Amino acid sequence: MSDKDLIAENKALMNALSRERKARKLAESLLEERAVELFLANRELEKTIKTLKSSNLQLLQSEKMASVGQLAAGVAHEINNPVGFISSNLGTLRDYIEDIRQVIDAQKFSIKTGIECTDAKRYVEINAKVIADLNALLDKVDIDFLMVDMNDLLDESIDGVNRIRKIVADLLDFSRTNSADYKNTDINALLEKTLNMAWNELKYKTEVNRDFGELPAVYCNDGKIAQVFLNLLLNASHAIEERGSITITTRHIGDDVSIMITDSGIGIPKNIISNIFDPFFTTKSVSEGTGLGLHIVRSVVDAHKGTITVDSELGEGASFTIRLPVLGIDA
Amino acid sequence: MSTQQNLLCVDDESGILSSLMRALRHERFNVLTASNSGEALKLLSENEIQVILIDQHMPDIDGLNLIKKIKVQYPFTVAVILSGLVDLEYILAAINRGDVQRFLAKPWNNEELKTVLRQCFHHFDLVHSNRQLSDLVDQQKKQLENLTVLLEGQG
Repeated sequence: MSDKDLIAENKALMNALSRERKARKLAESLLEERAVELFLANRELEKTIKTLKSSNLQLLQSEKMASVGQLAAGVAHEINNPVGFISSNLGTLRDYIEDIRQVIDAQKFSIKTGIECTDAKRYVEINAKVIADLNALLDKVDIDFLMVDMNDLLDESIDGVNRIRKIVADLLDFSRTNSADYKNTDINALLEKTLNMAWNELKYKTEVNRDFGELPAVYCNDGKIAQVFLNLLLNASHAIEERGSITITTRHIGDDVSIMITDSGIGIPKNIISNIFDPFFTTKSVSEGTGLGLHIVRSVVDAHKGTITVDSELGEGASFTIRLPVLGIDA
Repeated sequence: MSTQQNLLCVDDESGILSSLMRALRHERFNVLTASNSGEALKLLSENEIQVILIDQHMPDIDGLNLIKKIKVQYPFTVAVILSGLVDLEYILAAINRGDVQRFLAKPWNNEELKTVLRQCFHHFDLVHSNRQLSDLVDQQKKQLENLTVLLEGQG
């Protein structure tokens, strides 16, 4: 190879090298651009996830509000009944007291006349008239009836007040928001409390049968588990078109407690039974259901390391079985 | 009106029924009570009842449906609904269809209750005497027609 050839080759190599350098620089700057884009996209994604999380929380909260709202109409009716008869009774009591006041005034008058009268003969005359008037008044106001009925009126009204107190206490218990606490819970008593809450929804078309077994205390979040029971009971009631029954069976099985809620309603078609726990899956109209009820039920049961299963045939009712570990999640 | 005026109150809540009986103790009409639709229909078959006061929300039947059922057999009965839930659409429909004369909300005011019920009895009496009078007019018209025919025959 001549010198000339060598120089030419060297030049070509140099050219190639500078081309490669240029290309690498270009690639590097492109890479950097991509990295910045990727970083920005990632940040966007993180933001979206955050929004999703918070809207999911809002949805869960609104589902809870929806089930409470469903109860509100029934609760209003249930409160207005006792308020109705208590306020009517109080109005009547005022009339009774007016009648009794008249009697007392008449008696005062008779005493005064007796004291003021000094003539014995005249006293007998006046006294006879005063007593006749008094007796007429006692008959007119029907004092014997008033004295008996006044006690009944008060007893019934106090019963009414106690009923309202109980409804309000249950409602407050239920809407408690600091539900992050786990504690040893009597599941049968919790079911009873939830039945009380849902009673206004249930009583018009369902007969509720309780088959409660003896259960150990279950370590759980009682507020959340009550919400699970409420959702299942309301669903059971919605599945019943005219009249039907809901049977609640509780048992202690090994390390678990099992709660079975069975209704005699329309049942669940085979083709959708695998979807019922999916979020937003609903057969109800938009105004009636959010499609989150059973999804929440399963999330809560999952969080307690429990299981939920469903057994249903179209037209044969449905049966939901929950199993919760007695020792709960910390065991 | 010489016949006895009877009011029938229907409510599944015994506290409501006894408070109504107390509040209406001095009224001119008799107060009968029933706690379900079966008892209500039985009392209606045994007594002449002009006005019924019915709870809207009862376990065995909806108040409005019970009124419809009663009106088939006793079309002139005047019905009042007593309701713990005030649903405007429901009220409007019930009144405009003519099934219900008046609507009272729980809790009610005793004086208003008495006024409403007195007006209902008054309404029943008016309709009743109106019916009797038109019957009388019909009857007399017929008699007059017969007389005219008779007179024309003689003339």
